[in-house]
Amino acid sequence: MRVNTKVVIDIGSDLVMERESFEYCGPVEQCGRALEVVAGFATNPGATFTVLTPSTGQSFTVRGTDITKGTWLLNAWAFNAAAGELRIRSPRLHDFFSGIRNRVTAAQTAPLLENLLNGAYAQRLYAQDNLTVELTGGAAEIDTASLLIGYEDLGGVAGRFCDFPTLQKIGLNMVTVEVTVTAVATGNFGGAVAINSTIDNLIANTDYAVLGGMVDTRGDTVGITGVDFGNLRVGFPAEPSLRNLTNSWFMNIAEGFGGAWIPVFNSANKTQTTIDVQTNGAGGTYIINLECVQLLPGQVPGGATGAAVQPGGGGAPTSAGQPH
Amino acid sequence: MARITKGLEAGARNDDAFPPGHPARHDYDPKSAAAMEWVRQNVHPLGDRDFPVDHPKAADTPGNTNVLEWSAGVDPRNAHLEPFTGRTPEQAAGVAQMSAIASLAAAESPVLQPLNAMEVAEAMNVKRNAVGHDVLTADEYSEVMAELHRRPRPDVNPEQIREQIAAQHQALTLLLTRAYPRETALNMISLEGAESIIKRFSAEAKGA
Repeated sequence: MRVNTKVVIDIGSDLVMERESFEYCGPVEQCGRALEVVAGFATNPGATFTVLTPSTGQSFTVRGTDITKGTWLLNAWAFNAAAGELRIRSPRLHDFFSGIRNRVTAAQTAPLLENLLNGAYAQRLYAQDNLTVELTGGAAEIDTASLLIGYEDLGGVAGRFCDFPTLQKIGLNMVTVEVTVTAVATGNFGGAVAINSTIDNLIANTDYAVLGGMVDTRGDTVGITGVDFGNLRVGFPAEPSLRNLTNSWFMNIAEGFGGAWIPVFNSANKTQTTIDVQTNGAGGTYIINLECVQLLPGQVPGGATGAAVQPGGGGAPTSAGQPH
Repeated sequence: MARITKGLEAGARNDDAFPPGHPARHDYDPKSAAAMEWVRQNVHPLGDRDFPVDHPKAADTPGNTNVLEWSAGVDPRNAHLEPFTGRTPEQAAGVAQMSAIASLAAAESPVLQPLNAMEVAEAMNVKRNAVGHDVLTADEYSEVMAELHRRPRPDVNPEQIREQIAAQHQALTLLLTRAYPRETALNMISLEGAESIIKRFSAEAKGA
């Protein structure tokens, strides 16, 4: 992998006039790592455990074709208007009787497996296992829930991710991406808008890490989809009262599990990187802030080459790093 | 107290020796308003107070804020406002109505074909070299994406995958029942192959 240290561009013609670079042979994440949030909904579940209908195009069957590849249930959450229970079970997991079963408090989309701030433990999943995900809740409402699944090596699909130490090392500047999403009222993901739809301030051909995000309205899940994530949807709970948790969601996951789980996208793909929301039958309009960090070019595999430096507006490459 | 002691020592018998309502005052009437007020200020049968009488945080001060519930996003002094946004009920109703109309008109997100981000990046970089500039136009970008989607995907035989996974689970069960840690067992399956492990352990079982 070639790392650019200096690139001079003719702004008028976009041509590279001068370039200094070196071949990087250090450790990088090369396998087909992927992260996917799978959401579903139950219509009028009441007190009966009701199997969730996956959001359009999604499935609770674990992807992959090889059980030896690490696949993890990193977290789960639910958005109920009335209190209920979220149950996740499979014969491949602890038991098919009760399994992972947690109380969902009304009107709070909080993580149900761990808080991710004080270490974390993930449930191992197995390729092609069909998880049974059920929810109880209100008798006259759509209730929703989501699972966040991490794949260490998903054959044929790969996203771009970095870990926390790498972020600290190659992070340059914080930047907020703000978008407005109008969710659909069907329980599916909807209202997808491009990441640059409201403010187009990303620097061309530059990598950005998504640390997490915040919402102003309660929903189930904020999804971020893009070619840099293998066209899979990464996501976090749409909970406005837990902003300190969601604004560093992916960073907490990476730190909690000690792996590369911070999604990285290149601004060259900004039109193909979209943000949408899944919520209950109330729909709603969401203002979403994604907390991003501009990265040094060429550090995360799969980035743009060529003009992959930050011309102005950002710190020089030597300004990367954190206080110590 | 110091003031009272000083007055007594001096033999003073005037009204200033004790404040109005004080039990030692010459005109003390326990039912008078002054006496009741003195008791309120000075007699605390339940013990020491955390805050002085009439302090804004004292539990018995009328209008104190101790009982307010500070929920996330809600100003308890303006509990009628919408949580997190601070909109009045009228504004909130208007926004909700507008939002409901917008939600009805909103489209569900398209379903995308999963792909390999490394392949996309490689294809984009090839295109950049081909066109001779680094920032691709929307058309150039779309061309690359269209080409990627047109590429034939490797054939997957679901039956073959089912068999492979069933064998892997069988091998995993064999190893776990022989007290191999799960990670070790999975590594063995990955390195040796499920069929080989099943064969080996079945042979061992027969031998035993």
